[in-house]
Amino acid sequence: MAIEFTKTEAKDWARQHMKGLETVIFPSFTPDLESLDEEGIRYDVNHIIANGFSSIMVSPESCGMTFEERKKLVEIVCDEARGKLHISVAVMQDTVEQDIEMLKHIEKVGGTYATLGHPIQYYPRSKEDIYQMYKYMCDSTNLGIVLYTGRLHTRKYHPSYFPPELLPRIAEIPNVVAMKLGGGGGMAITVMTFRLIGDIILVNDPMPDRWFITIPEYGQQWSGAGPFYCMQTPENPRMVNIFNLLTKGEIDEAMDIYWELAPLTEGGPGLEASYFHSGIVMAHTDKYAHWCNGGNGGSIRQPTSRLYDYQKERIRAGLSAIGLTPREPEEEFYVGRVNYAKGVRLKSYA
Amino acid sequence: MEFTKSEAKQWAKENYHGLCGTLSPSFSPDLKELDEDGIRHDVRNNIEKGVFSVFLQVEICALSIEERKKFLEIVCDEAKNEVLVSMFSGIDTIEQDIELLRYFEKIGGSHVLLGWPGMFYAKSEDDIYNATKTLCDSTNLAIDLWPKPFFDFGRFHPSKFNPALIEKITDIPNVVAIKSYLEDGVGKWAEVYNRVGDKILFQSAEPSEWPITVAQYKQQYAGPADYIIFDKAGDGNTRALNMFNEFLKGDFRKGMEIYWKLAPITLDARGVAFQSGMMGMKYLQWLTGGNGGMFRKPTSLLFQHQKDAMRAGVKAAGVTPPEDEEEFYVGRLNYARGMRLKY
Repeated sequence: MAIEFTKTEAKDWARQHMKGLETVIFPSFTPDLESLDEEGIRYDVNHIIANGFSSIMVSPESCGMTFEERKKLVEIVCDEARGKLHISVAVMQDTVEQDIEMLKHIEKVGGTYATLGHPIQYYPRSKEDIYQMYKYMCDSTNLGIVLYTGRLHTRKYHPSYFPPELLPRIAEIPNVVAMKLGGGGGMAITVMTFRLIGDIILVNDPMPDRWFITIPEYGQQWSGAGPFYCMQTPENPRMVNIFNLLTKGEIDEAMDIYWELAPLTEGGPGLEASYFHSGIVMAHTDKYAHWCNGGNGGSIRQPTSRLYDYQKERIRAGLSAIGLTPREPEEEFYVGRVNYAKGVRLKSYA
Repeated sequence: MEFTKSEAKQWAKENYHGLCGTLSPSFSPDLKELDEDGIRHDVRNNIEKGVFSVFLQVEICALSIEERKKFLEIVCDEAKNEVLVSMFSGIDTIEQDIELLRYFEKIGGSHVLLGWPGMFYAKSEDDIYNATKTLCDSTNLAIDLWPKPFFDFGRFHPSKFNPALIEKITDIPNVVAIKSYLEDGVGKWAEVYNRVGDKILFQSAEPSEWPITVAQYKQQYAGPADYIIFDKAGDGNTRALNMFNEFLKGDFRKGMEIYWKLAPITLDARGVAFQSGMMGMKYLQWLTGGNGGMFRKPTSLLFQHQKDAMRAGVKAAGVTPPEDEEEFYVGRLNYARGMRLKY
């Protein structure tokens, strides 16, 4: 599917079309963790659509997968989601070359844009180096680019973890259409970023409590990617509703829903654990909470975070406290909802 | 194998003496392949530091099962006839773990540090026992247990791993040792020691705990842990091993003298390294002459302030670290051949 815009049209396209909430999709595997569970992945895409999100971001870096499997995951999501919502992919894996290959692949299989960070095998020698490398990656693709600096952490250049003077230069690259702020960064970083580049591209702070400032004050029109399905269901899409109410200026109504969610958001059950310092996406807890709210679930491959009883109990307690009924039984989470319905169970070693 | 299952406990008592060092994978700078020379360098570095065994961290970053096997092959080949070789078990599934254990046994491995894979959800302590027995029965390798809290069995016992269950597991013939930590709770540590201390080898790998566990409880070996981070590669010093030996032979004051010299690494740099998981440890190894090299995603990030803190700790312990950060990224051996980062 061809991209709907040329590079010079990209920023305008984004301003017209990138609205609402973007959520994240993690891989599902067969219970032996040997291969991707295509049906489970497609199930999650549809559950995400039913939740009212406007965009879905594939997270192929969240656990151990071959590069071919990562590409396959992107392909499955694009196939299932095409024409129904925007499709993004988190691109920040091993090397610049691999990331460029992934960008080309996303374009080929019908993604809309990419959340482009920095690969792990990258050590900037200077601020200019950061700009040139990023431009090199952007120039390699026709996709819209969402700038993401949340895994680079160059505090040696500036205490905000990224050299602010580079933000306007990067924002001027034609296909850079937006910026996702790193979840958990300080409010000053958010304000500074809106002031520096909010008129050039769409800046987005993914943390829901910030929306009460960023939407009325700075006109934030989209947010994510975040695991917002951890806090809502298709029957009661509270996060989507908060965001939409705020964009309409109905702040008090949004605030009412926000406080309904307080058991989750105010020192809550681990759903807002920051990825900021570990760099490892906590896909296991997000997948578990999504499963509690109707997602496919399914354990994922190492290396990734493990998932502990106390985390699960906190998640379940939090969801119960906001009036949701977490799914049972636990075993369904491990094998994935779609597999469980087919009668697949965990092996027994008795 | 040099021993049968019924001889395994005795074999371990005779052969586990001193330190077991760790090895993490090294990659080519494009992260596409294992860096065989870099891995061999790290094996040599461990041997030079006087370890009796090297341990492969096969789980700490994204590797295909074929690459994990290749990593095992390289290390078994380099260590052959010089030191024992151990590996971690407990990655994705029990079946995959068994496949790796069998392969490891075939190519010369001698023992294994046993954990439980991500795709294992015990509904009862019997489930844990049965899965553990299945794993142990599948191999002739000697088994070292690793009852860390992060395997998530806290729902069965507040110690996070019931000492009575540990006792039952140690009756399995090829279970020979336990890697334990005072920091996981003194009560748990003491009860496990009370139950199994005279049946199998019970030890703490943490140098910070040796003034108690070696000096008072006389553990005869320690590890796996990173013991190449205390002296520069090639300088002929083996301060970690010397400290261990002083405590073991009863010269407590001499042991403590070394302990305090190494404290900027043991207590400070090592603490910072673990903020960044094994990625931080790879960096700390590189500071003292290890190969270094970045891991594939997903792995922890490594920040400049952490690097600076580790550097300060190493210097305070009398080791001069290399200067050019770029060498860490491409790996020491590749750097020496002229390889550099792109862009």
